[in-house]
Amino acid sequence: MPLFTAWLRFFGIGLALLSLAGCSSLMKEGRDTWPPVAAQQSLVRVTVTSQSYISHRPWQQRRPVTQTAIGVIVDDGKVLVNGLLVADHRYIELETLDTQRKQPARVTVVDYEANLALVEPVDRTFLAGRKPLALAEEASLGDQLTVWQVKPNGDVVPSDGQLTSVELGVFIQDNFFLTYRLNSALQYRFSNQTLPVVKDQALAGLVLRQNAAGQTIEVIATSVIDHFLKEARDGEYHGFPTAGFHYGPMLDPQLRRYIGLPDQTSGIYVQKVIKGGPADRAGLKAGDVITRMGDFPISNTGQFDHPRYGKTSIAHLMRTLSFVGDNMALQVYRNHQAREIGVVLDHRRPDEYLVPPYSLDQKPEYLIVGGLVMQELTVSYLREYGSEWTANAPIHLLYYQQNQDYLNGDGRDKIVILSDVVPTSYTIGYENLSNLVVVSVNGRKIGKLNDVRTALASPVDGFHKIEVQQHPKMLYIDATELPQIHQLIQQRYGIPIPSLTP
Amino acid sequence: MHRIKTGFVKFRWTVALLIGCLLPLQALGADRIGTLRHSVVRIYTVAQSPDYLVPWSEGMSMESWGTGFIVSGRRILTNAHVVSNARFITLEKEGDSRRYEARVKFIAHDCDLAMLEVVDAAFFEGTTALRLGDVPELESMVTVLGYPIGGDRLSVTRGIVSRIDYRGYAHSGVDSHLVVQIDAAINPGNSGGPVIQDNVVVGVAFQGFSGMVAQNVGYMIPTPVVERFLRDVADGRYDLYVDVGFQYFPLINTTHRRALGLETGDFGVMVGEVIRAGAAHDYLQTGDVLLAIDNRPIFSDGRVAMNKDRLMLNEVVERKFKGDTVRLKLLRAGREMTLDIPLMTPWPYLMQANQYDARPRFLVFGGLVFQPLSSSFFAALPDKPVTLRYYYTQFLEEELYLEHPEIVVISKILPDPTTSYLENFQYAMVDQVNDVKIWGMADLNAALSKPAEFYVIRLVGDPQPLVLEAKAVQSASERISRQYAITQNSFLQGGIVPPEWMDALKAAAVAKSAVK
Repeated sequence: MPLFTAWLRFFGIGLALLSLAGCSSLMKEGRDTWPPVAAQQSLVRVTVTSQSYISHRPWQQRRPVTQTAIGVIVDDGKVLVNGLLVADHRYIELETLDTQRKQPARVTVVDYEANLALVEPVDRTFLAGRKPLALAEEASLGDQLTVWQVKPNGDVVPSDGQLTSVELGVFIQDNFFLTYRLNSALQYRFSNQTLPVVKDQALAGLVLRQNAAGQTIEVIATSVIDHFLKEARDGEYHGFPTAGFHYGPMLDPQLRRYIGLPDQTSGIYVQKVIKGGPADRAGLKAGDVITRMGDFPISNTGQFDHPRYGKTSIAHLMRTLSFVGDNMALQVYRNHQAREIGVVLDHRRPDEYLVPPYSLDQKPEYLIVGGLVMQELTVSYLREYGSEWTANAPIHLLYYQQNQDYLNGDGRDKIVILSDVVPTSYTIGYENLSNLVVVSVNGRKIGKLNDVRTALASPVDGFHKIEVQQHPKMLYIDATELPQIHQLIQQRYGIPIPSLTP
Repeated sequence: MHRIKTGFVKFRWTVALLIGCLLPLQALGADRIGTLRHSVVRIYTVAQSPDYLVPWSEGMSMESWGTGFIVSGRRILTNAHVVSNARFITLEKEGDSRRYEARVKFIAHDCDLAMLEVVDAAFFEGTTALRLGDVPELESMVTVLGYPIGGDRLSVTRGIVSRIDYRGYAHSGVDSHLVVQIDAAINPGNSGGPVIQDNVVVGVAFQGFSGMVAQNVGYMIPTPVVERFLRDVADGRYDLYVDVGFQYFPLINTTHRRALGLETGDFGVMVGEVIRAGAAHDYLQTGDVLLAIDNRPIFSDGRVAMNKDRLMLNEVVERKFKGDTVRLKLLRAGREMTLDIPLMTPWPYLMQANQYDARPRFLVFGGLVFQPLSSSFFAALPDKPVTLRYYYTQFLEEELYLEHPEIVVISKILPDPTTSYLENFQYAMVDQVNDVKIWGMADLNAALSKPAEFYVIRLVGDPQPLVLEAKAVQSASERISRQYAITQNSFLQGGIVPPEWMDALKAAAVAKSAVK
């Protein structure tokens, strides 16, 4: 290690001197054999300008934000970057590190749960002749991995770190995937959002986040990238699968004796089977104890024995080592009897949640009914309450979000809320209302935003009656006045009024 | 709002040392307060407040002082917060170096008033009882007497009446009554002291804002509230304030008025949420329009004309007592009707009211501590998970009390071999024990007293059950009590849910399951 750094410094000085002398031919020889120079052929700078929506004012976008990343050329001219980098993107540009050529690009696949995306240049010949980086073998504990950082001038700066732990890390909103932890610091990150991590000149991962204080880096593991690329290559992208149940540990001997689980058997307790999900369709029930998944016995804390990493969470087994459509055989202990249940794994799309965990790349849907702003409750909406949103968002909405899989199915697809009131002379007395759950409109139950449109077709005695779960319980808008109120709102506030026809 | 805390005794001495002797009160027009000063007393309280995180312990004791004043019948009035949780109270008065022991005769936490009696009748020699006057006029001058921080002798400050309004009383945290805002300096220690105008008491100084938030904003409890308290206790006990038990919505919006069949104008409010556990439940419906209360027309913002002023309509029922009725004129589906509603205290409110002079209720079973959800318990928690916060804050609004009139929380898991794997159950709420629904602490006690091999505790929101083996509990109980110095395994007396409510809820649940 000390030798390596010394050489790097020496080289740096040499380079500067040679450049001054203008002897570029001399310089070139040394550079090509130096791995970071070769790396310039496999990397590309990705500049993304994105503009997200403000969920509390769903018609409005934030200021555009530009971020840069170092993408990895993976194959056939596609570049791998972090998924969240391209969220709500408006313009993407690629730039080669050695020749500084630029080219607009587009997203071909993005997975916000695994935080991975593929982008490709609009002119697909742009990356011709570059060297795609192959995927590395899975790394082992103790391995030296190298993070490739890139200076603004395009020079690649490698920094080594030892793989100290392999564990599940949290990705977007309760998604857990395998991460590598390296003990290393990134002094040259240059605010790049994506940084490649390599092992023996092959791609081992992408930096997920760094903890500067603790000098550790969390890296998206090779197997997660492998799953993503395999899924992306076979045409239709299905995402990472889930089985659709919540579970808890089976450690407590009192619980084990109550259930009658034999001492030598380990497993997990099924707390809740998500209605309509893969496990529900397969007949798994709350109270079941899962003792095996596929070929692996399951520990009392929900781990399987990974051939390389040892005890690893079953979330990795179900979500990353398995694919959408795989049939996973579950060995289940129910009523003192073992049985087998085959669960066909499937991806749970964000729109399949009562409260969608993320909503990116799309305009938030909203309606304005005579100044009353209605939208579906999402985590994005709750996140508008700041970094401390889990403490500061309205408690009833937080509770619905956190307990959505436990709330009794009342036939609602989404929770529609009256989020805001646009002040006009028609809404005097209503201006302070917000975060009310819309129960019905004109007597018709509301289970998703579009139901409001349908219900507005039948006003009662010339009024739209909006019933909300919270005080004041009911609000009225004059049906015949809608066009003039909407015109007024458009004129004064410039707020676009979405069509109310179903 | 920041309640004026009674000052701290230790602090008093430090201040006195720094400032040295105080000048006698002479420049303040001796004839003005000359005789009144003998009716103002300084109240020293040693209070012992329970620790809701260690419910079996005696709690911490704390000394503080405040002010009180003598009224007719050898009674002393002060704030409830001056003598809450008191274990020992002594009084001092001007020109008498003796200290007299006093006792709380009545205490009303919902309006922050208390009445004390003195053990030694000699205390009253040379004193005169103060008389109560009316609500002072806006902008009129008032004088505040008391023992605030900054010295040992009686302090006099003066100011004008800035505002008369209906506001929250910080002591209980959930009650709102009439208050009078004055700009005279009111500081910690003034609490319970009289506010004087024309030689009569027009209010009791009780709360203010800290100087960080606002300046010269002090509040006093006006005499209608004080007189109501005196009338309530005349029968020898204090009943709580009563209420109609609904929320109303101002009818300012013209479309809303038309939809309800009302003409334009400044009258009427709409009934919003009607509290199921409230007086109005069998009388009012959401969407009714209230036109008048006790024959006083209601303006569209919910105020009524009273005392040459416009006050919140709640003020009309403020002076009433349990069993009194209120007459509501309302419009329902275009028809006018008049209803006489007997008033009562809607008990679910009390869950969120600060508790005083009460022991925490709890039950220890093996290494588990169970406590009912209450304001004092909730406030004591270092962290508050979302589900618990939801049940606490939405208890009334989402009628959670219908399913869980007394929310039983697993408040603590005492580390022991029998609880090694249970730490995730901290702050879970109990729904069932061995398939028996738990409506409150009494049900829990009954279910856990029943012999069984396993106690299977199902929790609200149905994650996995908590299972305790009877023989593990038996083997652990003595050890746990010894290790954690648990002097008592349960204290179950009291509680806010009226027994008849508990019975009605259970009966309704039985009827519902029979229908199924």
